[in-house]
Amino acid sequence: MLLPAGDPRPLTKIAADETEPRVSPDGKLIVYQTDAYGDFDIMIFNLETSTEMRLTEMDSQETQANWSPDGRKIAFLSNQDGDFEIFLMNSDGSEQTQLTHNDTYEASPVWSPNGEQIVFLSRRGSYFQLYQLDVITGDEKQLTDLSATVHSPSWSPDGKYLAYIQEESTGSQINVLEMESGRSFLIADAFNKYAGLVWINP
Amino acid sequence: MCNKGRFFHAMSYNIVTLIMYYYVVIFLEWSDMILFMKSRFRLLMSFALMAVFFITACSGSTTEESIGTVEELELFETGIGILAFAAQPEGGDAYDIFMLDLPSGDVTRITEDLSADISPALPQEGGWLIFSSDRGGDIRSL
Repeated sequence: MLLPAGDPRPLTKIAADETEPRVSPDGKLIVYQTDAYGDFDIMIFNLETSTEMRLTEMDSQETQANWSPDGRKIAFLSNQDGDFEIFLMNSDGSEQTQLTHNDTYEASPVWSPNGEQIVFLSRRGSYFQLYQLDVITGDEKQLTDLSATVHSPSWSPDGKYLAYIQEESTGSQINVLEMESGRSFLIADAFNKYAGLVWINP
Repeated sequence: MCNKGRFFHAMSYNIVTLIMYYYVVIFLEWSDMILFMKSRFRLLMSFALMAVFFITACSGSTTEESIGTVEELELFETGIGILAFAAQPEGGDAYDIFMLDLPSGDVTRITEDLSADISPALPQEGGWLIFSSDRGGDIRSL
């Protein structure tokens, strides 16, 4: 469904906060979050039938849903154990599984292009850092160890690199992490502040 | 390579150190003590201040993990793509959308207006770059 630029119209009409929409890889579905049921839950909007489906119904906050590259799985956050953890479910809401188990906050799950890894933010020290989770084995690996908060991870299309923003007290900068070596490289710091980035195919 | 953030961080520390240094010099002149050492003391302090400044500004001391430079990153020789990002060009200016070509490092400005353009995203089918803007008062995706 293509709309002329600058001519938005509402798809959902519930009097609630409905945010963080993400279109499925096949372009037919939108996953988003709504507080229509008292706390945030994950919903699906079908662009072909204009129908909605509620995927989570727990008495907790479920947010930041993100499609796997093949569109079969959805990673999301839930605070049903007291703090936000990474969860996984099928795109119809079935087989909800908790992937991280700790007493700190996780955020921003991002799938690798091959769908085998999820990179996310976790605050296990003074600052949010990048971590990698193997979806099959559940193994976790810390990717950054900086004395600064990092955010906005974005995979390169070939999965070899991860761009992210590093916040300093005087401004921010874009780094690229080489996944094989684990080294980060400063890419851009000419501007005062950076606020989100996405990697585009060459 | 001296990082912008670390440079200003170090500068703020050294301004405080400089003020403390001049208090010591003024005290020495007032007390008229060890006059013969004052010139050497000033020279020594100047070298010490410069050393502290460059060590703190350029050694990466604010991060536990060293950050490499663009030149070190081999991918820049082969070219792997383009990064789209939102950035605030000057302190008080609104965010605009930019593109950074990774092989060349060239930056292209995509939007330029007084409203905030943020959150660039790429649809699966490609061809379009989506971003949010508060043009007209509300945040909308264009």
